[in-house]
Amino acid sequence: MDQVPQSSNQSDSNKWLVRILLIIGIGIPVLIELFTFSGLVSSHFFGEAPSATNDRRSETSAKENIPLVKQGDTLFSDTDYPLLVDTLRLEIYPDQWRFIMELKPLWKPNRERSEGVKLTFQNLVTQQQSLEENRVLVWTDNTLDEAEITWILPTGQRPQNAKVTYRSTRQDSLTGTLDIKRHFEFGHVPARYKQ
Amino acid sequence: MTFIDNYPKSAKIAKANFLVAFIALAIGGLFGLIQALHRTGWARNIISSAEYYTMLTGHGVLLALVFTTFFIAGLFVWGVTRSLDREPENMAFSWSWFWIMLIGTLMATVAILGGFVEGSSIRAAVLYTFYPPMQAHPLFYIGAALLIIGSWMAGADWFRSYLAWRKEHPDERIPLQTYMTLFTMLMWYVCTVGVALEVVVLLIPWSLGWVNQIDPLLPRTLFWYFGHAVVYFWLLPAYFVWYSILPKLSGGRLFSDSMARIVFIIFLILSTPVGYHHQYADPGITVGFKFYAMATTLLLLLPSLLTLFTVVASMEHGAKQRGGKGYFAWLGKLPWGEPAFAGCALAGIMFAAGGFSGIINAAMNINILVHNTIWVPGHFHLTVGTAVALTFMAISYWLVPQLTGRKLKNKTLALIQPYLWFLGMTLMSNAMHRGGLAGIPRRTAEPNYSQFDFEAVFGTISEIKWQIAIGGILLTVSLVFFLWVIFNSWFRGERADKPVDDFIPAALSGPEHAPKILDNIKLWVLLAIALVLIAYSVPLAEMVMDGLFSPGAPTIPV
Repeated sequence: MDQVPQSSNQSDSNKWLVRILLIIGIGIPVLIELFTFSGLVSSHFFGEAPSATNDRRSETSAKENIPLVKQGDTLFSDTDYPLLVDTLRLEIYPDQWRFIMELKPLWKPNRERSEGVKLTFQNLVTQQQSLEENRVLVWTDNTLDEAEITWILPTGQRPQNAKVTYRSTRQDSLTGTLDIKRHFEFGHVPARYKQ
Repeated sequence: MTFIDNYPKSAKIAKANFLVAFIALAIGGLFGLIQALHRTGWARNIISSAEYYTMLTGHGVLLALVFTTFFIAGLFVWGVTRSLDREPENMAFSWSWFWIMLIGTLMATVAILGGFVEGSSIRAAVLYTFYPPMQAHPLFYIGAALLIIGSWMAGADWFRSYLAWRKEHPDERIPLQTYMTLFTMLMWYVCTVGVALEVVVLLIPWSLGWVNQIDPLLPRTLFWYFGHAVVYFWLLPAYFVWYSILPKLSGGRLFSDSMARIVFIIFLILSTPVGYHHQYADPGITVGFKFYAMATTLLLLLPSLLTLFTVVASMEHGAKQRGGKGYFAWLGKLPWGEPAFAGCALAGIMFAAGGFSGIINAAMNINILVHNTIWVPGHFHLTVGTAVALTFMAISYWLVPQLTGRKLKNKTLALIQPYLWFLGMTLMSNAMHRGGLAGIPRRTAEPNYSQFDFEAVFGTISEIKWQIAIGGILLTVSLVFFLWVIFNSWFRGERADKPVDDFIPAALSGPEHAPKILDNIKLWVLLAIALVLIAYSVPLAEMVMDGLFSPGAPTIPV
């Protein structure tokens, strides 16, 4: 005959406690797992892609529908002198963070029509402050030279947006000087740790 | 007459091992709570983020290495003694391995706790995965080496008992509990070769300053040669309990003795060649070997599924002896009011969940999604943190009265304890898994990267943190209940007026139905070694030829 545990009588007297424990101890975990499963399934089939809810990662700024600038993007693509964002990175040093942006013309402009372009960054806004420092880049000759701008940021600050003025002077007397003011929101800026 | 009356010497050494295990459990568990509260932001002022790593090391080492190893030693002393019906051959030898393990543990613990002493040069914040580039004080490595050497001697002690028994019983099958002990220790011998080489040949000379450069890949590979098999060193004693004791606690008998033997053989031969699945993201190891590790890891699902079948069948048999009927209604007839049974059964249920997340870890492609995220601690808190730890705690309610001759006290607390653990672990581990899917890293005191927000697949990160913290608190309360019950029963319990029920009935299908080849220890050890050689000989040879201390790969320090 098989053995039956000796204390089964006592467990009978604890039936109410066992029921509560089974309901709480097993019932709640089962509910948690069911909720998790349904959450994962509904997120997969019916939810938005995770990045779509994140302003910083999305293709446009949620507030003003301004395009987010990322490395590899082209600025002022609607002009004669579009500029490629060749490098966009944050270099992290122990005492300061440096935001570096390298731009270069996407193609050689028509020398006969264009005398070059001047790009002025009027400010750079981080999460906590606005750096009101004009930074100017000028391309006057017919080259594809790369130009770099560096901002020294307080430790822990990431670039958020910048106001930029684009001035292109054309020899074509019909259009003359073209001034464009734009507001750029920065997208993901890769960070590199430096010693 | 119970165990302590029949085998007083074995009872004494088993109790000594359990005592060390429970002290380690208490300290390691407390560290776990502080970590959970620090990481989730509930209590950032108890420790600094620098001390977090000391605490994490203490949590990992004291629970995963010390609690487990000492508990397993105590359990196996009990199992070998009762199943062979003989006490250890030489008690001086038995006590020597216990003391060597204890001295090693104390050395390693002092090195870890030194991290809390300001200005101390004795530190070991190297985490449980103690490979370079992080370096510990030599005391830590020497202590760890002694713990392993002591465990080897303990295994030798049980083999000695077996050989002495074999002389007197040349034609008998190896009793199941001894069989499971021997196969677990054989697996342990095979896998600890890696960590022994890592510690003795590489880390101790490096920590002593005898060499100042070390190839990070070689010690890392040697660690993981051991580092996953050690999981089965923890798990197999839980299987020992599920196969040999849980059927009895269910009111029935083991369904199949031979199934248990087959499962232990598969673990012996497959446990070690799986280590590369912790190194899927490591360069320097050919993808073919990683694939081999993935295949062997997934094959290990087989013995776990065999165990699921056998143990559930045994429990069903037990429930039907108690009047259970139907396909599922019999579950209600199981003794859910017995803490030892409830703990083991809940541990088994949790292990199934851990197995599912383990499949994700094992798969080369999917692993990358969760690699080094908090998903991984979520997984191993289900396996070692519940399947193993809860089984050990639960079976202590049954073993301690046998070893002390005293009745279990505070039975209501003992009954609540496993359910509370199950609930707390569900909350914590579920949240850790979800956090891992969101990319939250593991092994860090500062999981919130500056200016970067993790996104939960559903719900919020804040809710995940709450869940981890509440789970950690419930687990700690459960642990306090356990320690209180054991302390009270051990030191203040009434002397049992009648023998503690320690009878284990024979299996429904006993060893007489098991092929004799299952007991051919040499054959299975040779097969295990062959599979290890296939997995490791070429990559290790390449790493050694690359130079032990002046390798071609970038060295540490760079």
